[in-house]
Amino acid sequence: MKSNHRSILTRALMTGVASLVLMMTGAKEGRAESVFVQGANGANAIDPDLQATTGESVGATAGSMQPVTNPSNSASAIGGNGGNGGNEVANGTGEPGGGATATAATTVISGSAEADATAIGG
Amino acid sequence: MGFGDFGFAGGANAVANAAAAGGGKATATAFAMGGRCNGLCAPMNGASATSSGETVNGAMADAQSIAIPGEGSNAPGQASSSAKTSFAGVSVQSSALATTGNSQNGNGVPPEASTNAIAQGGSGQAFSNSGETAYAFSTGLPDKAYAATLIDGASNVASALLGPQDAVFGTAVLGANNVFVGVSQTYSASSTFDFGYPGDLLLGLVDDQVSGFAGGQGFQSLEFTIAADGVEILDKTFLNLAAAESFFRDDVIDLGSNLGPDVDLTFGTTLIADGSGGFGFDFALGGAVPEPSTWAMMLVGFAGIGFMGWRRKAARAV
Repeated sequence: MKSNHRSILTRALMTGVASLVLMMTGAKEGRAESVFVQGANGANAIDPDLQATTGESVGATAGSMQPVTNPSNSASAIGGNGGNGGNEVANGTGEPGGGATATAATTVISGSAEADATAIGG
Repeated sequence: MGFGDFGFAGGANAVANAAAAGGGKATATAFAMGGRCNGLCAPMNGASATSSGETVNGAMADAQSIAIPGEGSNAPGQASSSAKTSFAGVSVQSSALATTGNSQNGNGVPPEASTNAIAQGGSGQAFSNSGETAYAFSTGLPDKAYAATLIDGASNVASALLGPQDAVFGTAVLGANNVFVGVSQTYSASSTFDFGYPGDLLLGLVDDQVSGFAGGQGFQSLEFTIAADGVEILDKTFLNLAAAESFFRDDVIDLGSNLGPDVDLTFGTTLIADGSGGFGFDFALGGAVPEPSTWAMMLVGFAGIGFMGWRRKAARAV
């Protein structure tokens, strides 16, 4: 093989390897993420003149749709219970329990993807 | 929990999205349950669960959702799932949607809405009642063995789609189950297939499966639709169980040859029921694919027509 042919071949190989390295470093590293959030309970109104308070609404978010490299990436989000609605003893109305929102997202560029979201209202 | 003399309760919303872009499986599960209400309830303790999965290379995309409105709720629960996979110029998508009423109108037990959507290529799901309140399992370019197993026993469909020159482009299992008695519930499921095919498309309705609905009781209606590029080309509604069973059993519908060459077909079903029972069906979509020798003959024919046209034009010019 002539030396100029070798030179062309070497350059082509190096370009390919460099592209591969750039692609691999450009991809985000990913790892499993698990988020759990629990809302606080609302306060009961033991005195009729006082107002009960609402349970805390919560949101939990795990993972993202950005591509990650971890083939077994698993995102799981647990929305916490909202707090108890208040309990007014005399002629009162209890306040709402908290809402819960859970969002889980996973995108992988190799292997399997798994996303689990659980939300339980208060 | 919304305890208290007139305690209200909070709603719940769960969303799960999973995408596998490298050829692996994608699984998304979403679970939402509204808080329990004690006494008067505001319509805020409903539950919504949404899941979606997407893959490439025909790998299985599996999305499952469960939504349970809070006990004593006067807000509904809604579960929805969608799954999609793309490969070899084919795209297949499944969608399922279930919306329940609220427990105050029923028997006191919170109704559960559950959905499961699966999309995959090659080998697909068996024709069985998966138990969710709405389910859709679609398979793009099913392999011969799977297609034969699914169609097995439906002689009309088999003779139309399983011949040596036939190809099956997609299969699906769609269905719904209702366990909530007394109040109408609505469940929907659909399959969408995108692929290239210029010929005559045949829809083989393979079989149906019924559970419950004793004597047709509790079955209110079933709607079956087909849309091409988003435009409805068929809409049939069955108001009794026997008519629906008869329609989906071993029959072939010729969809014509004008839906291609870029085919985009959505098959949908909606079950409305106020009694305990389930209805599902499976179908296959296919058509004849000319052998290479037939393609060669057609090419020679087209070339001949073109040559004659060119000769006529040349003669006129002289």
